[in-house]
Amino acid sequence: MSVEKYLKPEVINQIKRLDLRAQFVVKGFLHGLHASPYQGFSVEFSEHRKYSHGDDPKDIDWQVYAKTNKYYVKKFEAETNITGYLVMDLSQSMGYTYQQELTKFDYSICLAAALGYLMVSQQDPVGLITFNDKVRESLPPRSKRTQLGNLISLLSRIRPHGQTDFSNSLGQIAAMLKQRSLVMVFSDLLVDDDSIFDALHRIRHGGHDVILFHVLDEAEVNFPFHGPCQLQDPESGDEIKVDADGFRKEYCQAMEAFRESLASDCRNSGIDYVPIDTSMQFDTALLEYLHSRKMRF
Amino acid sequence: MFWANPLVLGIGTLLLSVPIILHFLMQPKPKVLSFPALKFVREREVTNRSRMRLRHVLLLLLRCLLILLMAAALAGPSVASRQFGQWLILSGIGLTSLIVAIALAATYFAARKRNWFLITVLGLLLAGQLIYGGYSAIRLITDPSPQMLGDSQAPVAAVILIDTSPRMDYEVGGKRNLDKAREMGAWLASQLPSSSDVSVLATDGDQPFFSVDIAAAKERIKTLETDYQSSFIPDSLNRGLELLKDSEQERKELYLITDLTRRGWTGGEAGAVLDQLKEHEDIAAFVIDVGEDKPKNFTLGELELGDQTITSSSPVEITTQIKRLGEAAQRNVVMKIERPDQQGVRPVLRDGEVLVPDEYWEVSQTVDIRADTETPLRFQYPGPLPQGIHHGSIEIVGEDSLVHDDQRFFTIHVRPAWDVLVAHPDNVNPANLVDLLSPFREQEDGTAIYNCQVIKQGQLSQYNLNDFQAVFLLDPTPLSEGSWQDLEKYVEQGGGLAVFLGYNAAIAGGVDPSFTTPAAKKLLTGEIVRQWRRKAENPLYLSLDNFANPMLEPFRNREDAVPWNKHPILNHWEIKPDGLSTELPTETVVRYSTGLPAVISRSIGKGRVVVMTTPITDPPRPAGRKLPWNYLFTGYCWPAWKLVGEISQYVTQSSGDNLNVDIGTTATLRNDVRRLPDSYRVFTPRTKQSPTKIVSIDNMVKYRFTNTPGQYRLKGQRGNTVLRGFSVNLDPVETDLTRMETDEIDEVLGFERYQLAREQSEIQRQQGTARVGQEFYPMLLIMLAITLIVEQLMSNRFYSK
Repeated sequence: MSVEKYLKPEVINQIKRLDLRAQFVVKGFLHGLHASPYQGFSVEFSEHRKYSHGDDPKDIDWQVYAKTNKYYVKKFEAETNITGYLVMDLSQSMGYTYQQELTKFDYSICLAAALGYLMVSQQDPVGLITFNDKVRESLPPRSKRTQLGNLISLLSRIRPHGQTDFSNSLGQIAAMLKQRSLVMVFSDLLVDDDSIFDALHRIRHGGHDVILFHVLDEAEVNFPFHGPCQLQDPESGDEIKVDADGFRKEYCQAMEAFRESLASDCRNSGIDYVPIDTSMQFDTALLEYLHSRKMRF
Repeated sequence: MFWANPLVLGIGTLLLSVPIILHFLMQPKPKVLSFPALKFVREREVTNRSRMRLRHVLLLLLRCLLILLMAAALAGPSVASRQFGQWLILSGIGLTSLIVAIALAATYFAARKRNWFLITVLGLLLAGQLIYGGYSAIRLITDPSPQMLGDSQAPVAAVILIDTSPRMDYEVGGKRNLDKAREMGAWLASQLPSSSDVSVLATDGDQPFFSVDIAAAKERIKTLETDYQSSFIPDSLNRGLELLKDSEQERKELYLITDLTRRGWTGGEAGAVLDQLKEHEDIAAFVIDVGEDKPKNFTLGELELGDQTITSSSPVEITTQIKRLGEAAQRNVVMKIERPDQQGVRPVLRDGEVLVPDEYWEVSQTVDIRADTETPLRFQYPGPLPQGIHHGSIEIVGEDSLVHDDQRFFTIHVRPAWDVLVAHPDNVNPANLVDLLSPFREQEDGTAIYNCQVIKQGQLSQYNLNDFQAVFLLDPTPLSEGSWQDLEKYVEQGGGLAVFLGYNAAIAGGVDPSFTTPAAKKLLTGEIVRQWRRKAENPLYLSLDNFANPMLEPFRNREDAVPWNKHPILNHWEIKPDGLSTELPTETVVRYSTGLPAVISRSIGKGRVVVMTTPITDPPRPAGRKLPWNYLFTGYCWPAWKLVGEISQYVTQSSGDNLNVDIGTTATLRNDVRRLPDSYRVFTPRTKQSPTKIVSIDNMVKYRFTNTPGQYRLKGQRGNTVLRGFSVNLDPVETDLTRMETDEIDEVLGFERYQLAREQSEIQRQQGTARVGQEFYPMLLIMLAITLIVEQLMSNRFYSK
């Protein structure tokens, strides 16, 4: 599977001017974009301040001096790097689509690829972890250019399978994270237990920044079926007969409530919740999200 | 509840299993879809599944209802009362409204896309149903007429009236209309619920009664035959209705089985039928037509005999007409006159059968008859015939659908000419009367029926009056009391006297006293009191008064057409009645326009006197007078001619015996027991019937039972065998096959008050409606259509792809 399938040039064009920043101050010193407590060593302009004794004269902004005849020094914030983890749900349900071109998994790969590209291009290290009932594959974070290719080739190799054990898997992942990281979770969250947030909270409490991409198929959001249907769960194999027409409204309400409750919980926990369905153009969805994130931080 | 086709209902019930089986076997398989978000489905699944099951059951019910409605509609249900029917219809409307309301709600709320056209249509339908339902409910509640509730197997009171007129003998393909009527009647009787009260009634005037049971009624139907003296249908209907309305059964039905020929309906108390049917709404009336739409028939008209008493040298002359109903045809028509048998013993009863003379003098004609026309016929048998009574008939030879009007019978009396004496004064010319009684040509031929002896009045005493059948006194001059007494004696012994009073009875200022003697008064029916004179510009006219008198028989039914006003009367005598009319039967037959008597008849002893108070011999310009007493014999004077002819017949008593009578009329023959037998045996046309005996009373023999057309022969003994007789004919109108129009029946039975049917199936259906009043076929069809729409809507929603 080529990189181009998941990361199309037009998408790159769309997102290359953006960046993905951590919402907390990154300790460390590399080449990243992330705010650092160490000032004067970075390229990011912070403020002008009156020159005082002891300041490095090379910091004096001569243009301001020319305008005001006073000495001001430019103050810079030090910028450093953040480690990003792309956490992909690998369960069977992620391989589902009703009538879209991409399965949820494919869609998630596209999103992950774009984000990976973004991070690599920011020279931030990015890694990959996949899970279903437990963590299956992982790729350690690197900030090399080749990392993106490795990521995508790994993702394109694997097929969604098995059942999800969300809390167990995320628990494992939480244990794996050594330093404060940006954890980007891609999942449909179609699990039976209510312990999704326990695992997420563990990661969050570990000081990590979490973005939860809730990827659903368009059919799962809109329930576009008609007449009597026998619905089969691809993971558990359970079957239910329903009259789709009479059921749509109630289903949509339930799904809406689910997403609302997720959003609300995420808000409370400081997790970024991004509800997405596969009918949306993923680049547009991503751009929107990144813009809004940029506005916040 | 009555079902026209109960079989269909059974089949429909069987078919009901089809949608149920289909529902379970052919339930559409749900699409199998992979769907990861099953957790949300599972949460709501229970409610959804029960709803889906409910919808399936609803759909199943709708389909069952569809088949039920279809079967019910085809089975043709109806119920036993209009009111009950209305309730049922109301329920039907309610049910249909409910279905429409459900469909409307489903279309409005549940459909993905609202179909406004459908919503509008359904809305209008619902509104229409509700309005109609409301109207029906209000009408039902406010309708005061109580109607019974019941099922079709409840016993009924039924009158089956079968038309037994001779027209019902009309035959097509070997089957008479009466046979059809009897079959229909028997079938009807067998259709009636057991323990019903059934009366079988014929139009023969019998009093109706309820038969013991249905089998007895059927037996009576079998024995019904046509009757020549059939009564009118309205009268029979009245009798049937009288019986029905007194019945205690709740349901009452009147069946009239007839060929619907108009004749049967043209008399009787039609108004009473209408009133009774209006008054008793609970009586259901059916008219069952067993007649032919376009009947074909030959009808021989009434026979008009030149004279029923002729002399032996006179020819027998008969005119009639032949009438055709249907296309043109050719027929042979034969006149037969019986030739007396050699031994002179017939009629005679031999081996239980009456033998009559079987040899005839015959005259036949071939007649081309055009379609639907009348063709006149004239028969003449030149004679001579031997003296005595002769029976004959005219008959259309060949096949005909109705035989009763193909033969007519006649009887003539051949006898020597009557001798009459005509006495006239010198100044009176008897030529008019003589010409009338004995025309010169007939004298020459020897066919004249009167043999006139014309004498001067003065010669009267020279003749033995008893040699003459009648004496005519034309404008007599004064007669001696002796002459009056001779005449009185003559009349008492059976002679006839006709006196035409005139100018010669007058003396200056009054009447000659010789006309007021007791004997004269007795003969002239009273005292001549005065002479009335009118001016020429203000004359009197004759006015016929007493049509019951045989003298006026030719004028009956044409009184308005007699031009008496062409024959003014200027003078006449007034006779004051002597008050002896109780002992000497006296009648004023003709009056003047002032009301005074013109012609008076009186019976004295065995004879008769006729007095006319104005003469018949005055010429238009009488000698020595300015004006005549009258102009009776001036110009085209047929009325006077006829009147005087009838007076002559009356006084000679040659008109006394009517030898040709209509069915049902009493035949009366004079019978002078001095010369004729005092009893006779009567042989009727029914050849199997033994002769009955009748006796002469008051010199008359009367026979009442003339109920069969044909010849009635009287055979008596006085020295040797005396044969007499008469003919009886059916009035041609009785065989008129012209059919009734529906509006004419409406006039008798009331518009839409009866059901008209031809076939058994029609009767069955209409019986259902009438026993009941209400049919549900249209309503069921509407319900069917509506259910179909709703079923389509629902199934489309359920099984759409």
